[in-house]
Amino acid sequence: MGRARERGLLLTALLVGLTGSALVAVVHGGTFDPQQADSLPRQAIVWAQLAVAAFGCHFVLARRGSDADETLLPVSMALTGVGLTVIYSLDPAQAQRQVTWLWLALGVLLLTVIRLVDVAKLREYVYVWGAGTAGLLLLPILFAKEVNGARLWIDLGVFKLQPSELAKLTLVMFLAAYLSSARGAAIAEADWRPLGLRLPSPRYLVPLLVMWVAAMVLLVALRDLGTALLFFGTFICVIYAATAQPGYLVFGAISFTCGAWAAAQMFGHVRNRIQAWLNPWPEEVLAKSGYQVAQGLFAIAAGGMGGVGLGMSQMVNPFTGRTVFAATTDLPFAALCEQMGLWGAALVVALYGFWVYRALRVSLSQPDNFRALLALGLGVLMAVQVFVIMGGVTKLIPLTGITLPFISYGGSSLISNFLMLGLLLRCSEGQR
Amino acid sequence: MNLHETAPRLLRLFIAGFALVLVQVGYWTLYRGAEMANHQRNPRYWTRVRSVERGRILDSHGQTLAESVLDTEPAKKADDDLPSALRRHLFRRRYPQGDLLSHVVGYSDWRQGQSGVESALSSYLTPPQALAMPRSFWELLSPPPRRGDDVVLTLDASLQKTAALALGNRAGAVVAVDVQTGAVLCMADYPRFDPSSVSDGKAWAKLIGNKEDYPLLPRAYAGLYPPGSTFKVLTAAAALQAGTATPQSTYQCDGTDKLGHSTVKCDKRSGHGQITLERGIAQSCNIALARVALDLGASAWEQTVLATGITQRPALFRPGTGTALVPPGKVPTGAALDGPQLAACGYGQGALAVTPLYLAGMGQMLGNGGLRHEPYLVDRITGSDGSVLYKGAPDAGNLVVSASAARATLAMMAKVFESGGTAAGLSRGMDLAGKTGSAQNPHGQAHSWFLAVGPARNPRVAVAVVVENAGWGRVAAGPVAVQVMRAALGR
Ligand SMILES: [Zn+2]
Repeated sequence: MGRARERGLLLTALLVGLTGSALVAVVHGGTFDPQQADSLPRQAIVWAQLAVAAFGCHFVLARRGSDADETLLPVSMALTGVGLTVIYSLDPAQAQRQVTWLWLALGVLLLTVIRLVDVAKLREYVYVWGAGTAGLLLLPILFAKEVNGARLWIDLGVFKLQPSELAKLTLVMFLAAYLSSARGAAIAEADWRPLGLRLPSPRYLVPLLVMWVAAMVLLVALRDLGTALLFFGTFICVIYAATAQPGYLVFGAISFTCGAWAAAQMFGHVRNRIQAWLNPWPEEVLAKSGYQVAQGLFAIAAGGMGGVGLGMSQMVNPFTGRTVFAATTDLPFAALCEQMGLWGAALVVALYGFWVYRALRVSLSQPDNFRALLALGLGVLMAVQVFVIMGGVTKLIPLTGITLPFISYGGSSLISNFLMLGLLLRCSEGQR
Repeated sequence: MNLHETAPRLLRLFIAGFALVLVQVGYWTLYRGAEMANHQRNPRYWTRVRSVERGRILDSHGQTLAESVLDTEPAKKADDDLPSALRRHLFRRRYPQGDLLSHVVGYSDWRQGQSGVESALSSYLTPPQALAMPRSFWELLSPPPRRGDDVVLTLDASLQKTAALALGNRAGAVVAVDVQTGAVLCMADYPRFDPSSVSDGKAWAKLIGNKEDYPLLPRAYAGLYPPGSTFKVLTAAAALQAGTATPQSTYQCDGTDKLGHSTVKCDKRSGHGQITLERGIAQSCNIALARVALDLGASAWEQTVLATGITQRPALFRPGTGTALVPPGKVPTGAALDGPQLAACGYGQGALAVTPLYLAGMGQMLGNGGLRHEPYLVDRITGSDGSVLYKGAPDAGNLVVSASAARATLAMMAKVFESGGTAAGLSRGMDLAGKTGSAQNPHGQAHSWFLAVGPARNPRVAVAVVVENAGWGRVAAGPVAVQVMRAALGR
């Protein structure tokens, strides 16, 4: 049986995570919550499921004799484990549900890796992906209820679906399929040089313009700066990679900033986000739009270098028992910083960095442009999403409600991230 | 397509972005960590404040003004989820002096926040390194014993009581300052509130909902009033210093006077006739002092007034962080200080606003030969082992006017209590210098002001009193000031 490296890495990740979460359970049982005194066995069940699921995946890959990248699964599982620990410390009930989602997500991952579909064939559905992205993003505009000022979720009764989590994947597939086609290749022909910048002819600026308009519509209709930033950022990075023209990055950044600024002038919900970013401290801002930003920063500040210890997060107010709003979905990075400190944050950031690095490496070894752009797009998507939410929590950029991949609580997010992992693993097969 | 060229560049871009995130994390933990830990909206702050025994606040004679006691009351509804390990170790604040020092000592409640000394010196009362909750399983078994540091004020609770009684149920404030050092001896005001009642939601709602009296406004150090005629002494001192006037310089007062393009009215409608500066102070002649200010000129007047620190936030709570609690005064400067404005400011009207604390500080400066010390409230901070961690002391001082100008001004202020002065017969045998004021304002009758410095020949104490909407200075504020002065000098 192959894939010994993957097995070793998985074991390490799980052992480290298990030790950490055992500490959480002991602390929980000891100080915080008498009702959680049975926390140790429950936490053990959560981790047993995580281990079984992770090794299940590993063995399926090994049995198939797959030569897919051996580091991506352990890294993703380590992040998921960190996520479970953080979620457990904030809301044990959510951690239980997250494990259920994990099973589903790993099911999706397995379906992807057992070659249910031929990755190269995905290229043929370029307009399906385009229309799918638009359709998925339109869904919440039509059906969603407003939560925290943003319209992101569709309530399906059993669970809440967040279509943008799937749409980000279809966007990457669309970009890869479109840019690898003959039409897309023409975009790379630069023959226009305004202000000394190499740009494609105005005709090929159309996609940029279309995407910019789409991002602005998202911004206004979904009331969500984060999703707009994620989609637009992924788009300009991928198109830059395909065309090697820095003009896309420069003009993309400028046009998005201008658009967001204009939107802030026109729409209260965008303005609130920007204001809460620039200065969350005045009492009236702190009570409303700046609340999440400030509580996140309080948590980060409390962590110091080494953290206050796993399970000791005061994102749960010890006096009221109330958890900061949306802590497990929007602010897990802050809770993580509080519990594990700057070192823990550096470790998690390094894990994401490694994931992105592997994705870009997979991309470089692909035989055709579509698969190369697909792998690259997945890496870019991961990087942009991680940066947007981590930067938001640390007040580097405005805080928005997008999830931290593998760590945030949420079914849609977890499934979509493992789908990304599955596609990447598939791409990485047969490289050597 | 050449991903081999662009992908590594993108990777470098992302790594730079991730590094920035980590720099931010470091910035918030290492650089801003202490500030965040002490933020009143941070639940972690209140965990510390409530579960560590907070230091006491004492007056200069060791009387307890605030202390922490174990909270034995049954947990309220909001506390239902309180972990039992914490609930056993909760402290609450007790204020044995009731409402007497509500604005100085302030309150400290996890629902309503903090004010006064409780807020400004919180990092001493509950040190950041104090452990609110055990940080590990082992600390849980043996919690490290710790209590906060005690803060001793320069303030005298019995003098504070005298001042509060003298003021009675009239809105206003009394501030007494040690002339030699700037140490605050009392700082009473009305309306007040009972800091213990703050934890009661209904009582609190009533306090913040009261938009008529503003009982939460610390009038003594944060109430901004037009200073009225009390400001004349500063104009006079500035002119004496510059040599543009002497106590015997004479001015013509006909009741009203056109100065430049504005009309100045004297309180004595028939006019004071030929009047010296000395009589102008004693009888509070607006026209004489407007002329003194115009003769002095805008820049010289402005320079002296700014030297009193009127536009700065006094570091009253030093070494605490409470500068934001104490607002600066207002004074027109530069282009805003044109002829009519200079004339009006010269006798204390115009666009001027000061706190009673500032005016007491002005009395301190004149009594101390023109050397101004920033007023201060904290005498010392002692650790739980009795060691002195901080000792309050007057600052180096700032010479606002020369000693001779200050002495001459004080001599003129002494005439205020003599026959013909606006406070004649008020001193009851004490050797005092003073100045009455009645400040016109848009909220009804004039505010009654009084500034007293005593003893006139060897000043020790400066007292400033304001009584809102009470008319002439000698009627309402004067007797209060004299009463507090008597108690302060007799200490
Ligand atoms: Zn007159």
